[in-house]
Amino acid sequence: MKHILVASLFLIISCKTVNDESSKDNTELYTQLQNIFNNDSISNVDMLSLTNSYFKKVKNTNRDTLLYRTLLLKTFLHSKEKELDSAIYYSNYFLDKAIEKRDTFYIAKAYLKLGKYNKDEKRLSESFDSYNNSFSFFRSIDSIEAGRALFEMSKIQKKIGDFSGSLETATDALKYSENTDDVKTILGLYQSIATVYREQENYEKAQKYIEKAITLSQSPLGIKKIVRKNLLTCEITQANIHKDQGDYSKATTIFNKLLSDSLVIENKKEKARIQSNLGYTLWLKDKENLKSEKLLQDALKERQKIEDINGLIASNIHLTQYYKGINNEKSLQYAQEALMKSKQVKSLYSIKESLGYIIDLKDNLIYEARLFKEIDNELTKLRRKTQDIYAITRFENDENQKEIQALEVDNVKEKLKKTISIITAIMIGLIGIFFTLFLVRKHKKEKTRVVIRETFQTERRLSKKIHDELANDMSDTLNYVDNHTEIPTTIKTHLVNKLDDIYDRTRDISAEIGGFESKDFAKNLKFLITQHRTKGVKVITNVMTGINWDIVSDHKKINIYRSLQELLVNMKKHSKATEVTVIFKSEENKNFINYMDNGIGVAIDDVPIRGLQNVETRIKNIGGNVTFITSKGNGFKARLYFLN
Amino acid sequence: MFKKIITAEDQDTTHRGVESILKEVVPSVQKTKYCDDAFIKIKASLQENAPYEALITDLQFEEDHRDREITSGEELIAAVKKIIPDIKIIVFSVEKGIGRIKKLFDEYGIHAFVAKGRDESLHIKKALEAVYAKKSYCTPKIKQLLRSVDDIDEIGEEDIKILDFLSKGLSQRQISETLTPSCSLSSVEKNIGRLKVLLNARNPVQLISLAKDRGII
Repeated sequence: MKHILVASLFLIISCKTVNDESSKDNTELYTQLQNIFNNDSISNVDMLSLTNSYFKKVKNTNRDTLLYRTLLLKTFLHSKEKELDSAIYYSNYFLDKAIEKRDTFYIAKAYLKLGKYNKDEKRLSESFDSYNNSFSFFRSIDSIEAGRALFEMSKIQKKIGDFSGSLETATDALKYSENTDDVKTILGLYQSIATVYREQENYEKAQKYIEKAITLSQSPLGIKKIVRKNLLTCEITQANIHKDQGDYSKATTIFNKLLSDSLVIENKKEKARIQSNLGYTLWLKDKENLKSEKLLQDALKERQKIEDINGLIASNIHLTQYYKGINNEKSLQYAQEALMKSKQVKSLYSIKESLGYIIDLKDNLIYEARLFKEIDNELTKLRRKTQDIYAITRFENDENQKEIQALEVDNVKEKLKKTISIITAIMIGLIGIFFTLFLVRKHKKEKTRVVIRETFQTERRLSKKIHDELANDMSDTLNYVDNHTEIPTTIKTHLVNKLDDIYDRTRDISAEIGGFESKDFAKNLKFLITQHRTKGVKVITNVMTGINWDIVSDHKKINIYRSLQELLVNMKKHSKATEVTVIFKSEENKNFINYMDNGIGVAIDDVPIRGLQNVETRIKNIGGNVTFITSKGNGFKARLYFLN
Repeated sequence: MFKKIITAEDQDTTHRGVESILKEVVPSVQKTKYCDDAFIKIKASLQENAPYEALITDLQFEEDHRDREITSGEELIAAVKKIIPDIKIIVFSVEKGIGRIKKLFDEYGIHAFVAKGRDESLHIKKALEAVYAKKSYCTPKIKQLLRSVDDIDEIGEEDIKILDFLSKGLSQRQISETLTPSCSLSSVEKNIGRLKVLLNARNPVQLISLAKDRGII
């Protein structure tokens, strides 16, 4: 494998070196390098140190091509040695050099590397961004590489659960790959598209693409280039599509056939994968079959032995489902194991999936709920980010492309950069000024608002407390007594009625003091009136049309609302009225509210009623005035006046 | 009947009656004490392709040691509706404020409102049955309260104009000609008839006098 990769790297490099001016000198060094790599006895570490010495030699020379080559090998070896930090660092160095020399092919190549290593480091959005950059450079010079870059992008999108995005990117990739002889990528794309359709439950299309993949593998070019192992994945996908469609016997047949395949017998990883899938399919078909448990457990053990983490996640999820309902404790254990493994490989989508099962099985969810939320947010963010990145590239038209190239040639890029930074500076300055102004204004507004709201909020807080706590407790007590068989019926009836009355009044307090919205003010006033109308009381009003509340400030609305409330509470509690009229009127910027009832009235001089004093204070506070006309036995009239 | 429902209710010790009724009627009942838990369970059920069919929720959730994202029944309903638009929602609460209840039906699209209190388990059962049959349900007192919104007699701008013109001595024909937007004679007559009933007046003269008394004109 190593040699194939290295050889292909050299192949790419040698293709590009034909026109190099200092080719003689380079060829010499290049041959030396190649000789070393063709030597089987040299370990990766030794190769790396050799490459490093070459790197030092060519670093400060002008031999660009040789430097690129050395860097390609160096980063490749770093990644083989799992030194991803170094691989990424030198890929960036490589990128800088290629940009400096405006060498499009190597810029694209460097981005491709950054895409791969960042993906290995689970930095998915950086990886996606790099692949996207690589694609935008490759698309006009190399269809094969462009298709591959897009394929990688679509895989990332699938990984983060953005199936429609993945589908779009994969379809775009096909446009580049389908006209080339890169059948491996085409096969991968077909298979990938099929799995995305499977996730979207569009089985017909999934089936169509997987058949396309299988047909491709049987074409002359396919037979030559596609290895059996790639096809295996397609066949497993095909069986799983059958399974999802409920065609269990077809799926089982394929799995059984694959299990006796010589390739599978030798490959423990694939064998475990097929066993687990087969066990799960059999279970779906018949929940009480005796084979499933063993198949699933065997696959799990095998995967533990060969440390196939992704396989273990799948196994544990299968087992979670298997034991769910039979043994929830065990089921939960497997789900938690799946979660742990998913965290190990930092697969956000698997973490989310495992959490989904845990949440369903477990009761106290403080930690899981937070994690679920976090992961969900992160996935959403990633999806949005990747979508944004590719959307721009996708719609950049050719002209734009040409323009950028022209800019590169003319070195105008620097100028553009300068202009952009000046504009940015101005923008930041302006935004800063606006923001400060905004803050100052907001602060001022806030201050007045706070004063106005304070009283209101105290009222609300108290009423909320009464409502939320007392009313709930009252309802509990009521139910407790009502359902208590030991209390003699004679006492119970009386007690329950009494309690019910108290409960109802507790709820009334809150409904009375409860909040309102200034947005739909007329409607809120109507509800206020309704709330205080007892059965049999006739109410006439033009509350919905009398005053245009849109132009009245919130501060005034609150006071009007509370004043009217005082009048209505008095009406309900003391007046014994049977007819109530509330008329709203506007004349230019003056507003009037006439309240009238036919109740017993009050003698204002005799008993100062606190509620009415409140009304007076409130209306005076908003610069209006109020008059009461009432006497014992003659009903009650109030006339409120205020300006817009 | 529903097969899988979820409840959100923070009163722990209570409503045993409701609980046992639910268990009797629905095979799978998931209890939660926090809106956040309810929401996340609903989300997970969707992921497993076995979404909850109905949600029974309180409106008030008391604050405790736990940080909360969703703090009220309304927020929970809105969030849940967003992910499962056709889920049935039953509100189970002490709320009596008409504005809030009306809003639940009109804006939050709930299907039933059951007031806590006497016979609550009976009403929960009735509500489940009604909602399952695609009907809505309210406990009687609340139903009466909701109805009384429509019991209020409203008079509009036109009514006030008609009364005003009448008081200035215009005939019904003249009123129909003067009104903007214009109004046919028959509808002026009809309106005056309605106002007479409303204010309990026997003739136009008494109507004007009563309207003046009541401050309408």
